[in-house]
Amino acid sequence: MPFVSIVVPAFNAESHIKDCLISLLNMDYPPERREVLVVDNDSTDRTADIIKNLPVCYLLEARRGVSSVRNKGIKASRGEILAFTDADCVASRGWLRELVRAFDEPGVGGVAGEIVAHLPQTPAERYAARIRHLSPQKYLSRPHLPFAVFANLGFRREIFDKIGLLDETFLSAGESTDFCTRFLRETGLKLHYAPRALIFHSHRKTVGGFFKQQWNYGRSHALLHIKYRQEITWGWRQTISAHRDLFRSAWTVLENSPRYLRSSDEKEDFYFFYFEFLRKLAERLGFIRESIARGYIYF
Amino acid sequence: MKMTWIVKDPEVVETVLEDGAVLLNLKTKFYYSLNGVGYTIWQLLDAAGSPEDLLQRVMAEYKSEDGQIAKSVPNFIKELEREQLLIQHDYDGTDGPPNKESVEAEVSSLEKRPFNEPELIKHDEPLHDVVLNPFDPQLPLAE
Repeated sequence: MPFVSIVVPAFNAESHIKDCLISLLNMDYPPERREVLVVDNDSTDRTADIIKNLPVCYLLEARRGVSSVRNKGIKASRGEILAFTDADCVASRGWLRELVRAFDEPGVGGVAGEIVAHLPQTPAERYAARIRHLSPQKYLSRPHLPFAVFANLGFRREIFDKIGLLDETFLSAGESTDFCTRFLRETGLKLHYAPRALIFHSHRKTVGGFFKQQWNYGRSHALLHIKYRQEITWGWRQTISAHRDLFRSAWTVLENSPRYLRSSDEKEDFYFFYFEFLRKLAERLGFIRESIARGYIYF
Repeated sequence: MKMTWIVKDPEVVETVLEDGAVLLNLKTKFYYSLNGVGYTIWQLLDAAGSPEDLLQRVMAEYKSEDGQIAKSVPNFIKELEREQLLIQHDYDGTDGPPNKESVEAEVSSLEKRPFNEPELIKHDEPLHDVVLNPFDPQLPLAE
């Protein structure tokens, strides 16, 4: 069995990090064949204390941003394979075994595991669970810049030697799309999908947390457009399409509000439309804000 | 000798938490929470070769009064079977129930943990199917 380094970034993650690490320490992979590196992004809560009380390697990265945090873990790792997950995730017992097994197939340089919601309860969590947020099945089939997210990804060590580390311009999202794009273009190797390498992800619980997350996705979306502007255009056609989609969602919420106010039987459906609208609104605003800040006129 | 015993359904994925575990049945798409005792019984199923053997293993781990373990464990197993988390498996003599090592029955009761009722909580939100985003697939995403 290959020696694997598991890299986990953590920032103010006191509510999740213990379950995350307990799940990693209880996997059915030989403990002597893996190391767990937790990189703390200078948290101000109890995250560091929790990590230090568990048998994992604690690292500190003061520079803000998830890319620099993951890069710190990559540089400190010793594994032949590097596996990535996040502090708000818990791993299934067979996660690492299944992820590593997928590397046996010829031509595979990276493996993306499946991501499912972790016991969704609040309306925001339920919405994310319904759209199967973060599932690689949604992103790997995209014709442009297919990717999977670092919440459940593995790469051979030599990939980082060949194409370099994560682009630290991406502070909170987008680094997965960028790295997977570079990986697929520069190595000619395959990014394999391993459905049984399962990670449970705790989605954002509150409306505020959900809105901020989608805002950050929008900002990163703009960064991707700027970085890959030679091949992906954002013109009036895309602007109209995006805004029409947003207004359609707003109209659906307005249209369903009276029915919901009369009877709460259909509240799950209403919440779905409501969060669909919020997602699109936050993403659009984040996109516009970041593109203007970078001197581009994308709307 | 042919015999039948239960095994974990291979379609059930588990993750260990601080105070129990979460199970996801990929066949029925339902999530379940197990408390600490429930998860210990779930784990012991891998090694136990019969209902009696399972009971003995649970008794070696926990202390209880008034035969609570003998009452609770079979009910808990029935609940797991009802939720399709376990399946029947026939052993035909070439393979056997996983582990035949006998349990150390004479464990001091001081070393045993107190037994609480094992809990299996079924969650109402199932795992949904993936629906691809209909919004312009030509555009990149940055999740």
